[in-house]
Formats: sequence, structure tokens, C-alpha cells
Amino acid sequence: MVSKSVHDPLYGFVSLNETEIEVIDAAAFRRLHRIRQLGWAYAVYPSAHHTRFEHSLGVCHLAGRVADRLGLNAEVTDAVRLAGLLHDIGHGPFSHFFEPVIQQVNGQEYSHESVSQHIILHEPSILDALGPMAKKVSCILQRQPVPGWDIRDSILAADIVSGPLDVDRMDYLCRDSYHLGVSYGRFELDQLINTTVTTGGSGERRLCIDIKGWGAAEGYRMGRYLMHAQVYEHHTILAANNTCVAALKAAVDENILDADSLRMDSPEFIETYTGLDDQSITDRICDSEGVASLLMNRLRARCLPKRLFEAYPDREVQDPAARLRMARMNEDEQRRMSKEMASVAGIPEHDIMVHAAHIPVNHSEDQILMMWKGIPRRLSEFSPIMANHSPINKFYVFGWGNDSVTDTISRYMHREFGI
Amino acid sequence: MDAFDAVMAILYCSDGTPLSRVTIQKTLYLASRKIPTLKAPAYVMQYYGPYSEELGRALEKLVSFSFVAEKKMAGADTETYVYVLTTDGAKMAIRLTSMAEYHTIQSVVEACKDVCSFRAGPLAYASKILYLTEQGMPYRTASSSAQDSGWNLYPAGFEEGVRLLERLGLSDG
Repeated sequence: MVSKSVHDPLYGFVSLNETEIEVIDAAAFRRLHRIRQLGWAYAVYPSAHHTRFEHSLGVCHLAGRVADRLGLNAEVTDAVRLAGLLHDIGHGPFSHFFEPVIQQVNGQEYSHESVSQHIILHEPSILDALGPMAKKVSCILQRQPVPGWDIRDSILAADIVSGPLDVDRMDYLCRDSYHLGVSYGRFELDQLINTTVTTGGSGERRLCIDIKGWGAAEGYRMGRYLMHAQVYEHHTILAANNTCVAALKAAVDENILDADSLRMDSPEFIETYTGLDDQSITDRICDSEGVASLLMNRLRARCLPKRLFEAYPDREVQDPAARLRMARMNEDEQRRMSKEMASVAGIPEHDIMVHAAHIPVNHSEDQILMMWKGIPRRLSEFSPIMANHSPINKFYVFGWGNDSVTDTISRYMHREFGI
Repeated sequence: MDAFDAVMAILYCSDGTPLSRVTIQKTLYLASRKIPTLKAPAYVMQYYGPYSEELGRALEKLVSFSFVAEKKMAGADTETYVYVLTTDGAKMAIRLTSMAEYHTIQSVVEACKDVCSFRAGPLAYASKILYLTEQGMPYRTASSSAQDSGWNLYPAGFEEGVRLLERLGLSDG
């Protein structure tokens, strides 16, 4: 039963039912009002101040539209809308850039998705609002079979929220483009939704776009690629976000953030975590002393690190062993290299940050499917511009240093990787 | 053994036979049940059964860094992508042959080749049954319920999938 409508700049009035309103009214959800969608992207795009709150409402709305379009039953539709509403509930301050802190404290296998699960299943006001829906929403977000549901419905529900054609991406591409004032992520959203179908018959039901929506599907794929290449992986935004991550991690090391209460098995975890937001944590770190404060104050003053070195490692590194090292470079290796470079250059460790950027074009088992003459086919079969699946790999060294530091790093990279 | 090594190992074991993404994913899923250190990648439900995004990303990176070659092949209805090691990939994979996990992967690959010639259908079916049993469903129920609940494949694939699980010692029936 619809009981309220709120205005959204992209979709006009968005209807919410009683359960959804109860979820939104929970303090754990309202804090998303104080978490920016794109972290420090406003260092480059000054109007990038939109939040996870409005994005979550948008995802809920679009999930409902797709479910209606596919004629899903009321229970599945309600659960899919709630999964859309709650898919980002586990985000910490600065969205994805708090995740390394969660991993630093809890272990590499943890992410904002783990926190979402924890909040959905344990935060009293969210749990109270969801009632028996909590388990269903949790299963959809974890891509597990929903108890009592046909597996086809479980997979379809999970795909609507997170998959090659998901409403999360549809919303953030449109919303980020709108707020940043760019056109890269814009595509024909209405046509994409209105041509969404499922593969029929008695077999598996997969999300698919009718051939009439081919242009919209192309636009969606291009939008995703362009937003990653031009916005999310913009070198200045990467520099700002890397500085933010370094400041947050230093804040844990310097006890500005209490590691014990950020452990997910701590009884204080939910209260501590849901009390954090972008502004409060920035203020707390800036008002302290030490490396965390130094870095956060630099960010606030937009004194960002420069690109001291950059390369396309997949093309430029010739030696196979060195290239494989680049391919599998993880955060630990990036940190180790940062330390080593700083030591060689004779500058403080926190003045150098190594970042391996990876812009995925397609890493899902299922790509976007188009329904052509009753047979689902991959979009790439129709599209001459979709022929290349290779991601873009870039390697950066950001830092605050003079020409001599830049030279030292160039020599280091030549010695280690032959670049 | 991490996701990169696992992908290179399976392609090295397959001795130049091009493998599809589904075949790589499902063979490694089955192997991961025999190699504790391979359990690290998290598997979630997909249409073709359990799927690891970490393995998917490793494969994609290995392609983009020229250790694995991706080829397009015409299938019955749609095109499929298949993968083989490049010369550099094979050079890097040799070092894996001294690892204990490599030999387990090799035995799983041999079983997959013998029982179903690496066809995606039976591999997907075997993986789905195993996934459901790990969710707490008894083996015999899982066999039929995977089919009933929409995770169905062709009857021939079903039988081969079950045979594969039995050959690998992963069935309790």
C-alpha cells in the first residue's frame, strides 16, 4: 500500500510504502544523508555533493519499476524494492573509501556489503521495520537462495539489484551525471526499462532487453564505461580519494578512530559505525595531530598529491614476470611499494601513494542480453563498438615531491618493471 | 594458490584445449572443494551455478595483461568466448606445476575432460547440485530440486553432472 511520495530530481514523485518509510526513518538509514555518493569527487566537480540517501531512494524506485514491468508477484516486488533501498546501508563515511578501514580492522574479506548484512540483520530499528522481510532482503543482496522462493525468482531479484543490467548502476549513472553536470552517463533510461523482458519458457529466467531497446542498452554500456574513464577514475579524483584512504587508515593507527569498536563482532560496532559520517570524521581527524590530520587538512585545503609517475602496465611492461606482478597488484603490494619508494626518495612514507586503477568493461559471467527472434544473445554480437572486452589498466604514483623525487621514482619503476 | 594461479593452472592442465568462462569457473569451483586454499574466492548464485567474481576478474586481468588469449567461437545459438594460455602465460604457469594444489587441479581437470569433455552444461549442473548441498539440502533432494526450481539443464547434462560429482568423490549418494 503506497502511503507517501517524495520528490526526486530525476524521476519526479517517487512512491514509498509503509515499510519503506519505516526503514527510511531509522537513524541508521538517515545517516546516508550525510555520506556523499562520490567521496571527494567534488575536488574536480564542485557540485558532486549528492548523497547515498537519494541514490538509495532512486534504486528502490527503479527496482519497483523493473519488477512491475516484469510482472513479478507482490512479495518479490516488495523484497526487491527493499533490497534496492538497503543495498548501500553498509557504506561508511566517504562511501567506498571507508572500506579499507573496515578491512584493516576486520580482515580483507570484509566490505561495505558485509556491513550492510550486519545492519539489516542486527540493527534494531531496521530489523524492526523489515520484520520477516529482513532475511529475504539479506539473501537477495548476498545472492543466495531466498527460503521458500523458486530459485529463478531469487536469481532474478538479485540481478535486478546487482547484475549486468542492474538498477543500482542505472540510477548512479543518471544521478551522478545529473549532479556533476556531465553527459557521459546519460542514456535512455525509460526505454531501457520499458524494453526489459525475461528469457521465457520453462528454463531459467534471465534479465534481457528486447531488441527494440538496443540503442538504450548500447547507451547504458557506453555510459558506464565513460563515467568510469572520465569521472570515477579521473586522476585528480583518484589522488583525492587515495589521500582520504591514507588519512583514515592513519587515523586508526593513531587511535583517532577506535579500532576495537569498528570490529564487526564488537557489541559497540553498530552504534559506532552508524554514528560516523563524512563531516564528523573530517572534523575529528583535522582537529587531531599527526599524519592523519596532516593528510586530511591537505585534502580540505585541496592541496592534492600530483602524478609523479603514470603508465599503462599491460602495454608498457615487457618482461612477463614483471607484468604478472603488475596484473596481480593488490593493496598490500601497493602499500609495500609506496613505502619502498618513499624510503628510496628520502621523503616521509605518507607523501607517496601507489595506485593501480582497473576500469572493468565486463567481468560478469553474464553480459547484457538482447532478445532477438526469441533467442537471448549477447549485446556484443550486435555491437561493433563492444568488440573489445579488455579493461583499462593504469598505474599511478601520486605524491608530494619535487623533480628529484619524480626522477627517483622513474628510476625505481625502470629498475623494477623496465618501464 | 590465489585466483590468478588457479586460472593459469587450469588452462595449463587443459593442454591447449580452449575453455569457456563457464567451464573455467565451474571446474575451479569443483576443485576448490578439494583444495582448502582455493576456497577463498566467494561464490554466489548465477544462472549457470556458483560464480566467483574474484576468479572472473583474475581471468579478465590475465587477458588484458596478455597471459591468456580470448577467442570468439560460434555456438549453437550464440557466440561463446574461450580462453587459452599465451606463450607468456605458459611460461608463467610452469612454476605452478611444483605446487601441491596444481596436482589436485590436474586431477579435477582430467575428470572433467573424461566425463563431459569440458562441456559447460554438465559442469554447471554438478556445481549447482554441490552448491545446493552446501546450503544444507540433502544430495538426493538437491539433484531433483535444482531441476525443479529452475536451475535445470538438459537431462543428459544432469546425468553427466551427477557422474562427475561421483567421480570426484563430492557426492554423498
